[in-house]
Amino acid sequence: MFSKRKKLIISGCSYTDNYARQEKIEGFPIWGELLAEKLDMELINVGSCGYGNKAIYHTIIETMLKTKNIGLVISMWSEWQRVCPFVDVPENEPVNREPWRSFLPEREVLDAEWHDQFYKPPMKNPKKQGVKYELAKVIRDKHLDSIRGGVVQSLGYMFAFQSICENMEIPYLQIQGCLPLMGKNLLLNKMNYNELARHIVNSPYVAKFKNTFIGWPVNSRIGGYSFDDLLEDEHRLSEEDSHPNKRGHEIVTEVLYDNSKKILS
Amino acid sequence: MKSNKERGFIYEIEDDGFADLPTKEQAKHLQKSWNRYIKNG
Repeated sequence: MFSKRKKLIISGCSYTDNYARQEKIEGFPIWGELLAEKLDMELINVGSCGYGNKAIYHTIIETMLKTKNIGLVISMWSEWQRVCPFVDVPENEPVNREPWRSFLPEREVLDAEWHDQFYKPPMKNPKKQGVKYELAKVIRDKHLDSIRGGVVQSLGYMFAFQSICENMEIPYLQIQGCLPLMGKNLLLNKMNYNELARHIVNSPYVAKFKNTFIGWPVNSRIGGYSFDDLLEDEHRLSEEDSHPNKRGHEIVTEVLYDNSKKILS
Repeated sequence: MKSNKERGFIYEIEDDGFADLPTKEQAKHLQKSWNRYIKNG
């Protein structure tokens, strides 16, 4: 049977995908499910844990192009310095058919280094083997993961998403999900976010986003916010894992629902 | 502590009291250690 309900298409990273299910911890309804219920729409969630903005952009646009009866599209953006190689997965691949293999180079390299403590030579740290680590290492060593590069690429995807939705006359919203930069210590964070804010303000996109971009310009230094900024400690899974918990997902659902009503009315 | 020298993967955390912690607390300790390394690395 075909559903007569309109479709709610969403994409994003672990803030949009069912992170709890992936981590095999006690589950709860995620924002996409909660919002679909409130709007009486059928959810199509193409987000995936780990996705970078390139993967988010392509998955949501491709899904929009092949879906009929769309009620609303929401893109929840991820960390701006993630890279997203596309693997031409063979048709008969039995395990991981996901073509987008996103990662954040700095986290990938540091994670591998941290695991060194568990491997006594001559045994090799498996985290330092494989294409992902090799690629991450080259990107780090050659400084190809700059904050400026992340700004240029992410704002390009965000503006393209807005333009395509406008052109296709499809109701849409976008919001920054996790913080745009990887969390560092206080001093580095301050420096990094000052740089991020400077690149955003100097960008040709700065005045181009409509009020369909919730929280634009995404950072509090320049008057914006992300989903993550709406979360207090009690809205996160634990002290060790800052992903949104049940209440965190309810909070962002309320924000998205309020904004949905404005554009759907 | 658990160790598997044949595969070279050895849990020999030298932090004070780590070996005496229950498994769940050891997991939290490792996660905190990882978070710290990523933040400061």
